[in-house]
Amino acid sequence: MRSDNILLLISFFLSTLLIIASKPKINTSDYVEKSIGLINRDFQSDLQTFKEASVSFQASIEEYIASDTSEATLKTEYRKLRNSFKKVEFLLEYLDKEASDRVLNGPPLPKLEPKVSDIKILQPKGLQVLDELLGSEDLASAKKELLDISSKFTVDVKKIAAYFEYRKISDRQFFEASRQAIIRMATLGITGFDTPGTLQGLDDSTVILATLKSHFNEYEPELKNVARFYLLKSISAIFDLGTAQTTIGDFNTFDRLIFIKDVLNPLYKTIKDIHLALDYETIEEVSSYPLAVNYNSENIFEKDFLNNFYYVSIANDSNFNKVADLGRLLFYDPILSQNNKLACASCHAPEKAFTDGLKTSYSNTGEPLKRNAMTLNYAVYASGFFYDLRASRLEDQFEHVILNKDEFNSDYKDIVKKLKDSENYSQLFKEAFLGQSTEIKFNNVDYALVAYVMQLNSFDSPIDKYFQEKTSSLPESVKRGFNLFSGKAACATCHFMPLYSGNLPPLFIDSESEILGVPKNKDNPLILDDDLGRIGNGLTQEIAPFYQNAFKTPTLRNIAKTGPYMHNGVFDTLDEVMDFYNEGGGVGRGIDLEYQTLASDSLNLTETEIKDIIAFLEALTDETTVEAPSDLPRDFKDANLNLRNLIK
Amino acid sequence: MKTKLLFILTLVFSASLFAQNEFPSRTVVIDWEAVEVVVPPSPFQYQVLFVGGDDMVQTGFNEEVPAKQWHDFVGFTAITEEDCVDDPNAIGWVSINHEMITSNDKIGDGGGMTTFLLGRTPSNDELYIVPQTLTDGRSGDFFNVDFSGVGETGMNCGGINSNVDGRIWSAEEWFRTSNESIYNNGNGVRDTTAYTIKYTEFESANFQTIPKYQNFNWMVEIDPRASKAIRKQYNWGRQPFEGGTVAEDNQTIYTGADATPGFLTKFVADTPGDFTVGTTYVYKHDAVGENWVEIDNNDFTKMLNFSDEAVSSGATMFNRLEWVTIDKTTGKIYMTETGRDNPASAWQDEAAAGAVYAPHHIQRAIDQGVSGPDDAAYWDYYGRVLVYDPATEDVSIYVEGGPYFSSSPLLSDYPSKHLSNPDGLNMLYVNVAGEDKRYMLICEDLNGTSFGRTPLEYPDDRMCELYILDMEVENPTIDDLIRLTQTPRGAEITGACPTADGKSILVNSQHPDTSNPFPYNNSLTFAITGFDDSGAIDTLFVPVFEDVPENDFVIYPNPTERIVYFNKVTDVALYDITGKRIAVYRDVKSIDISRLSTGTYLLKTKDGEAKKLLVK
Repeated sequence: MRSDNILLLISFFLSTLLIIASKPKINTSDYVEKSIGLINRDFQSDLQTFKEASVSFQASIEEYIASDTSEATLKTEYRKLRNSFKKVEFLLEYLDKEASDRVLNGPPLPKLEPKVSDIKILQPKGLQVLDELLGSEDLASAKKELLDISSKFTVDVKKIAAYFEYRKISDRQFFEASRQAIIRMATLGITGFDTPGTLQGLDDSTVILATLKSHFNEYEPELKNVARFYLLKSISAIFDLGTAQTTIGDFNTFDRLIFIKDVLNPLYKTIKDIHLALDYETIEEVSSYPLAVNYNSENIFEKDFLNNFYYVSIANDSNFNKVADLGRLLFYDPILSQNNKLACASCHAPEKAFTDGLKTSYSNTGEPLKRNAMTLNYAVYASGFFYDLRASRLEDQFEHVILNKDEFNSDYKDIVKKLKDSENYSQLFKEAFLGQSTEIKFNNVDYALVAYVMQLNSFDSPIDKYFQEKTSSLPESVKRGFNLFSGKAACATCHFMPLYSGNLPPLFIDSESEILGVPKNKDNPLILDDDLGRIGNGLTQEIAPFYQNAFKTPTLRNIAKTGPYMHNGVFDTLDEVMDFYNEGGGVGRGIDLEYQTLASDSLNLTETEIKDIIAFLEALTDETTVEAPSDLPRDFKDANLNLRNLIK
Repeated sequence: MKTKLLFILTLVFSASLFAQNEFPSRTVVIDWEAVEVVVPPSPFQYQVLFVGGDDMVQTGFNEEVPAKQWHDFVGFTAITEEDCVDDPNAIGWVSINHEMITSNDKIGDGGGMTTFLLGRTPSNDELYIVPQTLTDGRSGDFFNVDFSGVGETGMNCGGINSNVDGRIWSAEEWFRTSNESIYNNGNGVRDTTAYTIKYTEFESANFQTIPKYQNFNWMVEIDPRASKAIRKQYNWGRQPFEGGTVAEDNQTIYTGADATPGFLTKFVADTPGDFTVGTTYVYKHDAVGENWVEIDNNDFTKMLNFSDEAVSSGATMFNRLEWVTIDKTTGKIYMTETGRDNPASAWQDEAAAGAVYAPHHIQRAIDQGVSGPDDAAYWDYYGRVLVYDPATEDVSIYVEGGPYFSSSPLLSDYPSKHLSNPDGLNMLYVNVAGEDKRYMLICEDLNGTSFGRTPLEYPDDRMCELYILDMEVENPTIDDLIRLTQTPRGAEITGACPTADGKSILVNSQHPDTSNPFPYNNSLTFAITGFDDSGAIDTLFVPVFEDVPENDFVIYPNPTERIVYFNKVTDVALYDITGKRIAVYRDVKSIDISRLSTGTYLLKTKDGEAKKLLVK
C-alpha cells in the first residue's frame, strides 16, 4: 500500500470520527450559559458600574465646588466616568440611539424637540457638554453648570440603566453593535468629535478595544466547536495591536491612517467573519428593511460600505440599469427646460465633478443665481438636499430646478408632453418602467435622474485605494494631511469619513448643516453673507435661531475639481478656504454671529500643515471619470426639438 | 494527494459547522416531514386610494396639480337621499388633510385638504373613485379644498367628523405666534397683510382686524361636496386644535388641543346643528359644581387668547391632547393624550398662574417618585387614551401607553403589546352576521424611538401601528389591543376612519421613508376592507392555547391575517423549500409572515420542534 493511500485512509478514519463526534445535535443550552449569555452578564455588570460612576462623579463635583478637592482630582474622576461609559457605550448606542443622543453623549448643541406642534428648543445634555466644560480654561467659573449637567446625567443614566436591566442581547445584536463601535471609533472617537473639550478619544479607544476583546473571548468554546479558533486568535492580536497604538498615542501626533488601516478595518472584517463562522442570523434575516450601512461589506472605505438604495425609493432590481441609462440621456438633454437650452449638465458638468466652475451658477437669462452648484458625485448619500437642506429626497430635488422660474422654468406636464413626442423616449420609458402604465409618468423623470446620480460614486480615489489595500503607496504629504484632517485640524469632526460629508456616522442617515460665518465677499471689514441658509428653507419645523446661516456640509470628495468654494463661491482656492478655517471662520475673523458652530479660535496650523491637508484633499479625486452620452434622441415630430444641443 | 486531504478536512470543518448553532443556515432534508400547517390568505383586502405627489387634484377650471403630501385626517361623509349623484354605487365623500404649508399659485398658499367621492362595487366590495363635476365647474377625481374665502389655513392636521351627519371640520395644531412663521421667507403664506374678518355669523368677530397669523388655528368647517371651506369657528377659541367630536344631540362639540398644557373644551349650541351660536367651556376637574367653566365667546379678545383665559380659569392641563371621539351607544368621550417626554418646563408657568394638573399626571409623578408633573425628571414617553364620562364629568385613563421598564418591552410583546404616543382615534360600528359590534381604532404617531417605542429590528426608524380594541372589553389594557396594520417604514399612521357601512377603514400613511417602494414612498390613503365579514376580525385576535403541554409546540394560524401564533415564547428559524434559512426570530410568541411569498416553509424551534408552513 502506498504511503499516500495510507495517509488517505487514516485521514478518512479521522474525519469520520470527527463527524461522529460532532454529530449535529440540537443545542438546548440556556441563554445564560452561552457565550452571549456571559457577554450579557458582563454588560449588565458594566452598566451598574457606569450608574455608580455617574453618582460618584456628581459627588466629586460637589466636593470640588466645596473646594475639598483639586481640579486634577476632578479630572481623574471624570476619566473614571468615561472609562465606565466607554465599556457600555457600544451596546447602549446600538440599542437606544435616540436616548443615547439626547441624554448620554449627543453633540453639545441645542436641538428642536421632534413631533411637537410648536418650536421647542431642547438644551444639550450629557457627556459632550460635560467634556466642553471640563476642557475650558476657566473650570472654576463653570461650577454651577457642571453640577447642573452632571446631576441631570445621573438621573438619566439611572433611567436608562433601569430600562436595559431586563434586556437579553442576541449574538446578532452583539456583532452589529461591535462593528458599529469600530465605525464610531474611526469617525467620532479618534477624531475628537465626542470629546470636544478634552480630546480624550485615544484613551476612550483603549477602553473600547479592551472591552470588546474581553467580550470576544467568551466565544472561545463556540469558535473551537466550529474549528475556527484561529479567528479568535487573530482578532485578539488585532485588539492588542490597537491598544499598543492608542495607549502610547498623543492626540496631535497619533497616526490615524495606520490605525484605521491596520486595526479598525481588519477588526471590521474579522467581527463579521466570526459572526458568519458561528452561523448566527444576520440583519437581513430579521428585518426586510435595508439599512444605510451594508452589513456584508468588509471595509469602511469600500464602495459597498453604504447601501445607496437605502437613500432612494427605486427598487434594486434587474431593471435598474435601464432606468439609469434613461436618466443619463435626460441629464444631458435640454428638453427638460422650457427654452430647450438648459440641461442638468449645464450646471453639473462631469469633468468638473458635476459642478460648473462658477462662483454661483447662471440663470436661464445669464444672471448669477444665489448659490454655488454642488457636486453630484456621492450626492445620493444624504438625508437632505440643497445647501439649505430643503428637499429631503433626491427625487424631490429636481422639481426645485424644473419649476424654478430662473432655472428650467418648466413643469412636468410640458416635459411629459415633449418627451411623448419622441418614439425613442417613449420606448425607453416603457422599457425602464416595466409593469407601469405605458404613458410616461412625470414621477419617472425624477426616478430616472435619481438612478443616474446613484451611479456617480466610484470610491476609487488614491485614499480609498490605500484603505482598500489596493495600493500601499501614498505620498508622505497626503499621509500627513490625512492625519491632520482627522486630528489637529478637526476637519473630520464635521466632514465624516468615509464620505467626508456631514452625513453622520455610524448610521449615516442624517445629513448635518453647520454655521461657519461665510462672508459675503473678501472685502474688509468682512460682512456676513445675507443668505439665511437652513432657516429659510421653507420647512415650518426648522424655523429655529440655530439654523440661521446654516448650510449643508458637503462632501469633500473630488474637491480639487469643485471650486470656487462655499455656498456662495466666495473662495477661489483651497488655500483661501483653509486660511478661513484656520482663523476660526467668520467669528474668528471678526464677524458677530451668535450660533457659529465652528470653533472661533485658531487651529494654529502652520503653512506646511495646510499644504499637507490640501495634498490630502487633492488625493480625494476619483480615478474614474464620467462620460456624457454621444447623442440624444432626435426623432421628435417637432423638427425644432431635433436641433437642440447635447449639453455637456 | 494533497487535494484529497484538503477535501476531507473541508468535510470535517463543514460537518462540525452544523454542529454549533441551533439554527444552521442550511438544514437537512429530513426535517421536512414535519406537521403541516396552512396559512390562508387574509380575509381583508387592501387598496391604495389616493397618492400624494402622484394623483392630480383639480384646483380650478381645467387646472390640476400633483396632490399635496403629508396626509393626516380622514373624514367620511356618507351620501344621503338628498344628494344627487348619478352613480348608484357611490357611498360618500372622503376629506383628507395635508399637514404642510407651501406657497403655490395654483393650489393656494398655506395648508390644504383634498376631497373625493368614493364608490363601492357591490360584487366584490372594492372601492373606487367616482369622477365628479362640482358646482364651481371643476371636474375630475380629486379636488383641492378652496380655503381662500376664509383667509387660508396652514398645516391642516386633525379635525372633526360628525357622527351625526358627516359634517367636517379641519384643525391646525401647529400654533402660530407671528406673521414670520406663516410667511416662512416666502415659502408659506405670502399674503401677510392684516386680516379683517367680515360677513361671518359671529357678530363679535366681524370687522375685527387681526394680524394674519391670528386668523390661523381656528377650527374651520368645510363642505366636502363642494370642496370649499365654509367658515372658521371664531366662537370656539383660537387653539392648537387637533381633534374633536360631535355628541349625539348634535349640540355639544368636544375639542382637544395639542399642546402642553392642552385643554379640553366644549361648545354647546343653542340649536342642534347650528354651531354658530352657543356657549364655550373649558374643562376643570376640580371646579365647584359643574366641571366646566364658561369662557365668554362673545368677547373676541378672549377667543383670541383662549389659552390665557383657560389658565386664569384654573383649567385642567393635559399633556398634548390629540383626537377626540365618541362612543355613540354610551355617549362617553374618548381622547388620545399623546404625551411629551419631559413636560415639566412646558407647563410649570401655567400651573403657577392657576391652571391645574390632570389628576392622573399627579398620580404618575407619585408613582415615579418625583415631586410632581413639574419635576424635570417627570417623564411621559408613551401617552394614553383617556375617557370622559358626561354623567360623572370625570376624565380618567382608559388605556395606558407603554408598558415601561421591567415588563417592557419584551420582544415577544412587540409589536402587538406596546402602545406609544396614540394620536388618531375613531370608532368603528359594524354589523357582523347580525350582531352589532363596536371597536375603537387607535393610531400611533411616535414622538421618538427611545425606550422601546420602536422594536430593535428597526434601530433607526419609526414604525407606527394601528390598533383595534373591542369595546366590550371591560377595563382594557394594552394586552387587549389587537394590531391591525402598520404603515411603511418611517411613516406616521393617521386618519383611521371607517366608511359608514362599516365594511372599510380608510387610513393615511404620512411622510414615509424615501426608501420604500412606490407608492409607499409617498403619503397615501389606503383602505382595508372586510370588517363586516364573519370571522374576519376574529382572525386578528391572539388565540388562547388551552390544554397544550408545555413541551409541545403548537402554532395557530388557521385562519389568520398575517401573524402565526405559538403556544409559548421561543426562538424560531424559518427555512425555505431549498433548506436555506431565511429568517430567525428570538424570544417570540408570534411571527409576521406577511412578506413571505406563497409556498412551503419549515418553521423550527430552538428545541428542534418543526412545523411545515404552507403560505397561500
